[in-house]
Amino acid sequence: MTIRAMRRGGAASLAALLAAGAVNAQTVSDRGLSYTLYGTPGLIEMPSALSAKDGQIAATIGNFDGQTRTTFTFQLLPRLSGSFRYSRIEDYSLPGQRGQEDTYFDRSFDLRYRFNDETAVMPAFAIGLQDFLGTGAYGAEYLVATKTFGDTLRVSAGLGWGRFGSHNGFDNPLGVLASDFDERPDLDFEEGGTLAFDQLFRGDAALFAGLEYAPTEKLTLKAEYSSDAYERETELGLIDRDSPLNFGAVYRPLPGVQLGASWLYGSELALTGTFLIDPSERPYGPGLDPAPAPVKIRQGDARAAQSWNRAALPEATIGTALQQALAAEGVELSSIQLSDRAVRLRYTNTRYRAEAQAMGRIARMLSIGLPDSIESFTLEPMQRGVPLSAVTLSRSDIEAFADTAGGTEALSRRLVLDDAGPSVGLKPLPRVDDRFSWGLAPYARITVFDGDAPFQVELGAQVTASYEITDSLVASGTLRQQLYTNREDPELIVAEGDEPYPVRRNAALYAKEGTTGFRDLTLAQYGRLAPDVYARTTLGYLEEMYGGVSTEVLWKPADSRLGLGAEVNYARQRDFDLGFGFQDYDVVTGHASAYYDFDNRFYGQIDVGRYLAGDWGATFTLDREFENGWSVGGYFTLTDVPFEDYGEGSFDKGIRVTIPLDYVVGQPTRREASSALASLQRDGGAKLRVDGRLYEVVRDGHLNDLDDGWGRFWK
Amino acid sequence: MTGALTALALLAGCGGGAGVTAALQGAIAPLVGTQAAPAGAAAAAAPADPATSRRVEIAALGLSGTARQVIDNGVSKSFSGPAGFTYTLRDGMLVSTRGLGPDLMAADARQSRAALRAGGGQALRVHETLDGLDRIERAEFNCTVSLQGAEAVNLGNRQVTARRFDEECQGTGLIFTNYYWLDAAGEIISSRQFISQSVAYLRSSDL
Repeated sequence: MTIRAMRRGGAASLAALLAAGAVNAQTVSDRGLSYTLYGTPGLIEMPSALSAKDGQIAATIGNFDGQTRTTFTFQLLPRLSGSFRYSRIEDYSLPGQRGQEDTYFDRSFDLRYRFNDETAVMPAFAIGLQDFLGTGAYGAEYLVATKTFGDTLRVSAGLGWGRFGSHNGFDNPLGVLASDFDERPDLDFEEGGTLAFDQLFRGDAALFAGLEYAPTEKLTLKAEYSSDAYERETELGLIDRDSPLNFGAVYRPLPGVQLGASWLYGSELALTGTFLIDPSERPYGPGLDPAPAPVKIRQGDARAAQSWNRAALPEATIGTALQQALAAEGVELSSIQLSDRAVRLRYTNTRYRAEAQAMGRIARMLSIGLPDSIESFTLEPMQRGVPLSAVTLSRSDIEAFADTAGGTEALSRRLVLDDAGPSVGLKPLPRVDDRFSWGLAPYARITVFDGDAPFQVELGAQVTASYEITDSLVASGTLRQQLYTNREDPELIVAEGDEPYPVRRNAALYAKEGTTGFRDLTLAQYGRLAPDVYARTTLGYLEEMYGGVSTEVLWKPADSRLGLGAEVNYARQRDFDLGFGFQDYDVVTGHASAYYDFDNRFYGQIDVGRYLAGDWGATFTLDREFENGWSVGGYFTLTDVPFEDYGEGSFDKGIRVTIPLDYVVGQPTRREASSALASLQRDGGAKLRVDGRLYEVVRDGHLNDLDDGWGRFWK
Repeated sequence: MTGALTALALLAGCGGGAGVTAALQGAIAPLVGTQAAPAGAAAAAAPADPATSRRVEIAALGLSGTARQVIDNGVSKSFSGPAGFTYTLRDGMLVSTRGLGPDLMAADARQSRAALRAGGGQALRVHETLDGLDRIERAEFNCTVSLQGAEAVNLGNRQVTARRFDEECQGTGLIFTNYYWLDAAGEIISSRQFISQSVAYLRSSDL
């Protein structure tokens, strides 16, 4: 029953698909890659068939003549990329609409799939959908091929539809398949945010092509023939499109930074800046963790000892000394069980993101301090007072594999992972660490993508404090003082017609009236009901907008890819001033959840249940996680609130990113920064926000997270 | 860039590792009846015991000074150097470092050691490092160990004559050369051994 052996053999079909993608990693073609004004790998405006390095995130800002496009492109898989774009166009309005808006804001989303790797004779081919979820202002589809010649020259050519089929277009070649392809129907975007299937690859098609030439490592020159006629912009008099030819240059002053300038359509100057982040390349490499104590190896026949002299070395002395020693590693030892041949520890790791690294440090200290006869180390990591799993290591393996090539791998094959054992037999140690902790920190809240006020910011300071009444019963709170906001005076929003109750839309009122107040103030109890079953109850002011009681149960065996949970909450809307008062609205909300850990570090979650506005539905989430703690994912929620009642965006969806803080600072820490992008929070499909949901708490000590961090065992 | 960042951070932060090691030893040592290592300032002020100390230098990080033995595991010994970094020598061969950022996580240098003992020869060497995704990266090197002749070596307070060997190693995209000085008994009394690409070499000598 080792960690490897327990990996389930038959992965689901999605997992297999993802795995197939990962194997075909692109090697040559991501060299010298540069980005379009749309923030996708390619020429100047036209796409190429290339992919960025797997996992890379590219943030691009492009500007020309009143258009600003801000794009995040994430290489989801070696061949699949997704782009999210937020654009600002002056004096624009969508086709079919009358008049012009002073500033038009638009969100769009693209996908691109590359079919093959480029070879000596064969170009790479890719298919792309641009702005297929939004209003369609940038809507286009394309098939494109790219071939690299030598070290300096690259040629791309393709066939475009939609926007990219608007200059010198010809009858759609797909028309031979079905006459439906001949006409591209007008876009009826309603509230936006839905998939425009009846548009894809319809209407006239046109050819585009371009060249990239890299005279030096830092400079790339480009020329292209664009098939985008800029019909709507020309009609509105925004752009003079005198020529289909664009010329540009990209300069790379530093690794990860690209600055570009181009001359568009014979009349416009465009500027771009691209910033690349690669989650797999940490600024501080493997991290600046202080050196651990080395392993002590028992010499000679010491290993054969079957018992130890408790008169000379009482158990109590060992427990106290270990507790003191482990405190230096940020590990709080709670209880210990000693026998002649084995030790079992329960502890909370407060410093290391990877539980495996904490285990490595503990194992080394046990090798130094424990009597020679003790051969078996069982480590039971806890979080919030709940034991997560039990990892048993043999002391002889620790001695043999320290500083040994192949030792990290060998140890992971020989350890035994199991559910945490019973509390019976463990001797609790008196707590020596502080039960009370507090911190003062700045906070910032940035709200973007709101149609009327696209960039709102709120800055302030907050004090957080917590008191651990027991290991698993914690009182905590956050007091906030707002110092600056650029929000204009918001009005109270009330539900009109069939709209759901405004459970989230009055967020601005909390910011306006709650300048000093409690963000949260709760009492949380965690527990383990059975070896694989965890429970949580949180009572109090749960989040900024709601208070009440939240209860949760989770079934998640330590070695299982599947977790099942249920949550039931009673929530009541808080007063806007963030004091102790409540408004009249209350609701019983909750979900049944399934969590699945696909191979290849994809995590899926489905929540089915009742949302804050009393609407019923389901949320689907898929995250790609990196071994080092980075996570990038997306979610969407469909409920029984009709799209027209939901409002802008039709339904709730978004992108979220989590960055572990040790990636940024290079020092060990368990903290991380999370941010959700692209979510325009409205009232349909809104969930209660509760800190410390069980799955996130529990999974650190379970199979896949342990395995991901295992490389750090000896760090 | 990583190297520079590491050096900066080590110099700025300084010494956390030594503190930890000392604290552990202080707390745990009584259990096993060994001598507690002198802690903190006391350690810095105490004169170095030549039997358990070495002179060390990592030029790329600007680190130099005395390293003290923290664990003696017979054939392998671990030392704690300036700014709290540690390293382990197995029969005189560097097998790991910690606290340097891009550390040498583990190494198999047994063939190189055998070649030194045999007066020269070919050796396969394995190094392991940790990448940005927390995975162990294994690199193999083909090495040639050759005797350079007798040389005078300066060991702190004394000068001795020793046989010098060079070990030229070649791996995928990486070449390095280790130097060793062996005494008459075949023990490595001074060396310059490769750690990792951005930290480069550790010089370590008996006192």
